[in-house]
Amino acid sequence: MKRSGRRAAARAELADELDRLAAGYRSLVSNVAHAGVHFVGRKHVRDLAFGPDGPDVPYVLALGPDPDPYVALILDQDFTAAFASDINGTFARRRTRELAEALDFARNHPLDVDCAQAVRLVHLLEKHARLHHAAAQVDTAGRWDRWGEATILACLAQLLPSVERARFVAEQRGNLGGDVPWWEHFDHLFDVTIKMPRYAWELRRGGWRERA
Amino acid sequence: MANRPQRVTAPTIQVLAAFMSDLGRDDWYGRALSQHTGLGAGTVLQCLHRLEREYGWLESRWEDQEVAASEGRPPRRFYKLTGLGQREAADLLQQRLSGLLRLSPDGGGA
Repeated sequence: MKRSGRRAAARAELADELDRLAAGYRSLVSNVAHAGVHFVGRKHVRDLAFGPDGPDVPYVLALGPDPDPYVALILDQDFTAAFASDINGTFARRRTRELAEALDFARNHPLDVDCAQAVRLVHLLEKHARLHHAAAQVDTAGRWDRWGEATILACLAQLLPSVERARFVAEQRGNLGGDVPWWEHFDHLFDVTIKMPRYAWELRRGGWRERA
Repeated sequence: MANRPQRVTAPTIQVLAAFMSDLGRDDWYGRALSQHTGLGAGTVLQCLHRLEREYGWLESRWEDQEVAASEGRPPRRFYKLTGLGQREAADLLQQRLSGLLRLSPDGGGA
């Protein structure tokens, strides 16, 4: 499979996993709401129940309407164990830099959250899942064209000052995105290419002027 | 630092006229301007660069990533006129227009 195809498949897989995580948090919020509690904490009971080598099982602590004392509840042991395994598996499998960064936001939101935060996290996970689903579609459709286009833009960007390169490439990709016929892609890239030396000169001159 | 241009080229006038044609629009991007004015993509790129970075007449922002992703494409860079840009562009277009009227047979002759 080509690199872009692998990336599309990885994105689609990640999107599915984010959807599952969102569904997990949604169920958790729903369970907690039914139990009439307003705080859910996650405690690793590995040391307490299974010892240091035991499984990483979340132990759900719920604070009921009566704030005294904390009531230890495991709302649904199968669910919480499966959910923890899902989260841990997701993080363990995602070792590439791009996907690890994509998951950072979820890693930073453990189950030690109040219900309002958990609801926000569900929305956040669903939003990222939608983004990755859409990105997977972009990666899959017409990827040869984008490979050629990305290569040309990357070569042209070498003429620019380093701080301008990423913006130039992203802006031109944005211009060429959507339903643009191939001849317009060609026309656009051709015109940008022939104007590039002057554009690069203007940017570099601007940089020198600022430094002076 | 915004500079006042010493010489404004015809393509720059065309790009400014496009912005002035719809002041409420804040989602002009390179290819849309190129299609609207008939100018090449590279020419529009240069004009936008000068108007934004050298003169301070334009400001730009990235399109919301979620909106772009929902349409299955990369986000675009949107441009719009600043307050200064609107005033300067209006002055400039008025000067050019009055110049053209003076040159026209019905414009009083010059």
